[in-house]
Amino acid sequence: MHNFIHDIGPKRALRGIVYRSPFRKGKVTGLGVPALPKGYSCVQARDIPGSSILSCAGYSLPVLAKSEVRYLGEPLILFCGPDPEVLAEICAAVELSFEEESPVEYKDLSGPYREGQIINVAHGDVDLAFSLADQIVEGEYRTARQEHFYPDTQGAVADWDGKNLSLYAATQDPFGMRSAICRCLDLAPRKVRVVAVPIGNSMEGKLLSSFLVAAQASLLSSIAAKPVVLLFNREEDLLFSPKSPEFLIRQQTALDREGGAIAVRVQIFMDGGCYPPKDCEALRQAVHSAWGAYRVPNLEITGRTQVTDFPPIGSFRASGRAQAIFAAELHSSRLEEIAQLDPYTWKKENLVGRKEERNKRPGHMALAVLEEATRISDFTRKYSAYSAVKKRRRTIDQAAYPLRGIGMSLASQDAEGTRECLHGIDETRNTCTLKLVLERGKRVRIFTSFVDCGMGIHALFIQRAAKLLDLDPSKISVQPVDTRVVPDTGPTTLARAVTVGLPLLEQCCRNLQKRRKTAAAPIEVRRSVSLDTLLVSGRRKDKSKDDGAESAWVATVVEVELDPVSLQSICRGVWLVVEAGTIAPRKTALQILEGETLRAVGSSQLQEYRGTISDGRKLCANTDLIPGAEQVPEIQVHLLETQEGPMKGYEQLPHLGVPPAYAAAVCQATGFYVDQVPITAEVIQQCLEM
Amino acid sequence: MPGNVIKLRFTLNEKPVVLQCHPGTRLLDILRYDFDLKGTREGCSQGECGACLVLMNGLAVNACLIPAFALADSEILTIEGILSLKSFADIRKSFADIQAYRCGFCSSGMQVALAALLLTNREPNAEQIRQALSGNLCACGSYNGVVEAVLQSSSRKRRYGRKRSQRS
Repeated sequence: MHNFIHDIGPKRALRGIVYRSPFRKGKVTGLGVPALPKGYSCVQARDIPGSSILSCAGYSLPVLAKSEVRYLGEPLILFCGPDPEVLAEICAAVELSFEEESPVEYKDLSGPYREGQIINVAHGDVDLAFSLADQIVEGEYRTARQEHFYPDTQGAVADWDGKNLSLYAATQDPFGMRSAICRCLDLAPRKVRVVAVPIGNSMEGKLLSSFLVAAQASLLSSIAAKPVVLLFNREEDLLFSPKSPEFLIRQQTALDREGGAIAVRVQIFMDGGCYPPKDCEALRQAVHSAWGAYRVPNLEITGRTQVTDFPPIGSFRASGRAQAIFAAELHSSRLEEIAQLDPYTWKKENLVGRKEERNKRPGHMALAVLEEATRISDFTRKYSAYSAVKKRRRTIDQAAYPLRGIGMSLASQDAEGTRECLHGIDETRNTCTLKLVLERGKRVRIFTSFVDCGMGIHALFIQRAAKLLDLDPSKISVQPVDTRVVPDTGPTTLARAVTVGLPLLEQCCRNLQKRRKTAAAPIEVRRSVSLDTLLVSGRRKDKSKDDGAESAWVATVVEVELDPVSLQSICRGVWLVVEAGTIAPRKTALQILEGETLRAVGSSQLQEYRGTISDGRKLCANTDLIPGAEQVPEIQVHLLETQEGPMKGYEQLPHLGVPPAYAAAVCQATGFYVDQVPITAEVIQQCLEM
Repeated sequence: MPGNVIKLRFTLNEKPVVLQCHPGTRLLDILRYDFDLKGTREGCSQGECGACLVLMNGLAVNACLIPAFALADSEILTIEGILSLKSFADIRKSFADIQAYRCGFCSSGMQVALAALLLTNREPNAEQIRQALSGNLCACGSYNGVVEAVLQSSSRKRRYGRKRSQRS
């Protein structure tokens, strides 16, 4: 049984608590802290010795607000002490005066907001192509904020002994956390030790949020000179941790007389929240995947981060890419109808570009997954049958229930995105290193900063090392992640572990095999790679020439049925066909893909996270985010294995493929163009009323 | 004794215990902080996720919703008890093969739910297993693997039972 962050902590540790802003936007004009009993301490923004801004992967947040408050619940003061009830009383006794401002609440994310980051990508002559178009198809697609709902909430245990700081943290990036804490507390790296405890399925939510909690715990410990435990309960985590951003995406496609796409113009508006990222990987991923898996001779994409008065955003699995592919796939389903082609045929024809280019090779893996998904799901027959039923009925009221539909999508997890240092690079960390030690007794230990996070990374490394070193897996272990002991392999995601960590491990194993022949144990080997090298070799500057050979591909088919009374869409089946190189071990990959598919189904059909949008002084926490055991649809995952090529990252694939396929299925079932996700009963009711 | 403290006697993992605490203290906090039993986890604090499931008088309950005053003379079994007591050895055999858990956070809650089911039904079908797990949320989506593992274990026990009876 793992010990998560809530399971550890010395008995003599103090408890920490965060006093948060009760208002949404404005300026603090007075902050009166009550007299503290003996053994209790407090920290305000002015007490922070170093930088008060934490950064991770392009996102930034202040540790404590100084005077300007930008979101409801923004941290203002930290307290610590032995008794949580006394701490709650102290918080209640804080005297706060403030000048509140009205937040700007545009319903339409396209503006007029202040713009933050802008990214433009273009090739060909889009204006000319649109002027020559026979027909122009437009669509607007919205994806809501999402909650990570990791099982273990945010928390940290900090212990300042007067000279050095030890942190026990639930984080995906222990070295990134160490850097952030050093800057915040103005300490040298050798004085800060981070021990990363196992974490649950984080959905990439244990990055900046984990740094924030750790910084707060560290500040308290440094003031109190005692260990401090700072843990969020679920309500606090749901209300105040950063979420994935909302997107609004506008697609315009120019069609020629034959219904072929000759130009595409895409505008992407990303909700940057009240602390918008300066260099956002999510926006970059969105821009580079805005037209999905399809070729078009003229393409123009503009992505903007909008500075809003909504709560802060953070990293999320497949963020940016998933939203862009949702819009592209759903838009393509409209083009399929105009061209009077079924989805499989349209995708196949447009995947290889214009007809005269059909003999070229690009995207052959995409075709393979598409064909297999069509076959195993019986897509063509079902699609025709449900289309015929839809044509025969005039309105849903006249429908012979149940309403059924089937949808298909095609998506790729880009190798470029998975190689980069998780959504952006910290210029001080440009090298990833992994170490292997052969000890006496033929035992091997793997030293890496990749954390055990329910993705089977440690098990994957052990199995691979066992195979290469011809050892029993029981003789191989992964060193607990402690920044004093392990090298920096970078932040943890499955994709990075597979594309960066695994090659390093393989190199270490091969080197170890050679050295074993001449040297006696213990033997230590290290291998490093520079991120500059990875980026230069991995980046394709001309997206139009990207053949997708390095990407992992997924074709997804989803079949839904609409409950006639509740209008809730019920997922009848999901079929995923994945191509991600030579995947091993297969069983773990299938488990992970099935689990992520279920999470993606939940994201598609359950409640969206609602922040203070229109009437909000109070945030509304939702826990209807994950399907339960009785709500699991039939899920079939097939792995297409290529005999060549390394393993690719695949954990994002269900999040890329399921939502658009789900939406397309609901569109067929209802006859409405559903252009947003999640698709709740309320959304379908709105379509009925229109 | 101060006015807001009560004295409780109950059985914890088949051992009698006595505790003094505020009557509203959650069973979850009692288990984790008074008895250092960390296997019962806090997931949602609202009785929705099942991470804090324990057996109370043979029934699976959410420890985050049980106040201390309800514990008087009750029998509480936590995951630690289920994994160590001889009385649960047979049920543990159904857990041993479950390698479906990914991060493991929900595993103790799920195993308590399965124990509650297996106490009354040693050969459940898939629907019954899913119903038993309906109060457990798994952020990794591992339900199918858990159901399959329990079914396979039941199937193996049935085959073993048949072979034994054939031999005898």
